[in-house]
Amino acid sequence: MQQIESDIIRRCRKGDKGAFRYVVQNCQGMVYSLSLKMLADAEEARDAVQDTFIKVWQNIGTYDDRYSFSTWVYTIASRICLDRLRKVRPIGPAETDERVFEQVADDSDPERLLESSEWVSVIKVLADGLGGKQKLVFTLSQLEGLDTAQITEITGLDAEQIKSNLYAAKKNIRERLIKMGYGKD
Amino acid sequence: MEKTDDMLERLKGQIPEVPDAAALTDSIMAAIDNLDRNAESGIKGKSAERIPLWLTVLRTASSMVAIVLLVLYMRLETGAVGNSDDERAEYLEIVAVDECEECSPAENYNLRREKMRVMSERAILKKKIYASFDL
Repeated sequence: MQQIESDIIRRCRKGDKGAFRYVVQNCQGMVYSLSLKMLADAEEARDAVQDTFIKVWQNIGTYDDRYSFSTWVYTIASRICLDRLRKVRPIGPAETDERVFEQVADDSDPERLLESSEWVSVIKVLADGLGGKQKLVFTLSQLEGLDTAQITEITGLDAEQIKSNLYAAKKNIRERLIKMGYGKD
Repeated sequence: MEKTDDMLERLKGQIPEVPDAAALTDSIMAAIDNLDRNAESGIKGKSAERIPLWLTVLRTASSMVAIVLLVLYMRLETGAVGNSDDERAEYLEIVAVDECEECSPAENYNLRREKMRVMSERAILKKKIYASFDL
């Protein structure tokens, strides 16, 4: 997770927009990553990033220095994403999404980084039918690579709830992928 | 290892690149500038609308005086003032008779004189009543 120096945050609190621009430049990648993986829509993700930083700017006075700034930003972003997910009607994966997913899954290069559009397709296939909480826990844990303590801080869920949500999400994904022919090798 | 697990492992920690990151930063900063400008103009608008305390007090006091005056006027008009002077004025109103047909001219003359006296007494009483309310 991106770390921001406390001096920069102090300057932001005083209304220094130059300092805040630095925060945006350094943190928008992680917020976009979470938003894209949660919302599976590039435009929605950009809007969520904007909403997140507006909220960060408005509430930076309430940020508690004892906690990680990135975790705090993640918390705001995840709430915004959950809110947006509640408002939009979920659209299942299209045939083109499944084709993109197959290409990515069959790619022999494990180091290849996915493009934004590929992420949208992959997420549409992977997370189709997951509930908001399951999707959030799955994204934070499996796709963002955060540990349980960080997920607890962001979501407010305890370790057991995280475990059960993650289990349910993985089971759901595995079953769907098996149906698509992506079972055991 | 299952193929799905393998794939999830490959995706783990991958950060998708933000398309046109500079434009996104600019749009965020512009949105914040707009927000601050709106908040500022909102505050200015509110302070311009703010009414000084003395004016509020003056408005309240004058409204109250107007209400009191209205009530007094209505009570005086309907003769509902419950003090002895008023009762006397009401009594005088009743006893003030112009003339009677059966009476002799001398008696009618006396009646007219009596009426004039009553009228003047009533005028004095009304004056007293108004004066008692500091009008």
